[in-house]
Amino acid sequence: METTTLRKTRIFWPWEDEIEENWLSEMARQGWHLSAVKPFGSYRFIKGQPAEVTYRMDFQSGTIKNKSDYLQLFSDAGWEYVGEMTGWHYFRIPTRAGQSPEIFTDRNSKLEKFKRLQAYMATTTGAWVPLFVAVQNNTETVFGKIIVGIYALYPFFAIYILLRLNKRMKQLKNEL
Amino acid sequence: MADSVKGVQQYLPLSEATYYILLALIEPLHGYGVMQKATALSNNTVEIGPGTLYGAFATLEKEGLIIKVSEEDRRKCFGLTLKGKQVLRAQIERLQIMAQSGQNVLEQLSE
Repeated sequence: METTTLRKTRIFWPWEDEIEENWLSEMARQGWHLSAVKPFGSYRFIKGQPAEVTYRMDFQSGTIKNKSDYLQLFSDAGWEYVGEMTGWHYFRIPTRAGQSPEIFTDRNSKLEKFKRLQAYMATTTGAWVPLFVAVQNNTETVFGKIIVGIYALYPFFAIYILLRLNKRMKQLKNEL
Repeated sequence: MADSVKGVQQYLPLSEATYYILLALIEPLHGYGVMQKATALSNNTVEIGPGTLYGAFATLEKEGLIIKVSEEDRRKCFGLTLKGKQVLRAQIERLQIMAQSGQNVLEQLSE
């Protein structure tokens, strides 16, 4: 029997959202249509007819204040909501006459999405400080040392992401 | 008086999307109605995506330029506040000056 469902795990950097969107369109071109997204890069697909589909991802940290209003706007404008994964919301719409529609139609709102990502990174890094204070003396066991090591490296990781997001925003400013 | 003029000026110039959103809201509308009306008002030169509109609604509501006036089939309808009307009027006046100066130069250009 032919497989009709597919699972794929992909980790993506937050500044590579366009690569992710294009990959999902490529999957649709091969007949694999996204059916669900699960935390930490887990994608579920269902086999169907090959189709030209535009995927777009928005980032909204935490719970959106008016999620039903938010989803209603997208649905009224013809966008189908696939799901949410760690703040990323996945939408799709059929591609018409080779034109890929946009959910953000001006520079400001495109940049705002990356500002939300930066704010989210800044918040999680802030939450890291008390955690590090709590674990830092726990170096008597190997396990404890590993934990402290991971915690000590986290800010560098966060700063790297913030810098790459800045670069992406600069690119966007030049594109538009 | 001087205070309120300064208060209005800080919102100017409006982005093209924000300008058409406020124009559309001269009568209360829900989100999709605003998208359609903005496209029509601009002779198809401006399209407002749902992500852009959601963000604009949130900002304009926070700034007190628009307000929720009713709800229809789970869709919020927004209208202009007094401040929203003042800002829109100031923007239109600014655009009129721009268009008028452009018109004068246009005549010289075609001479």
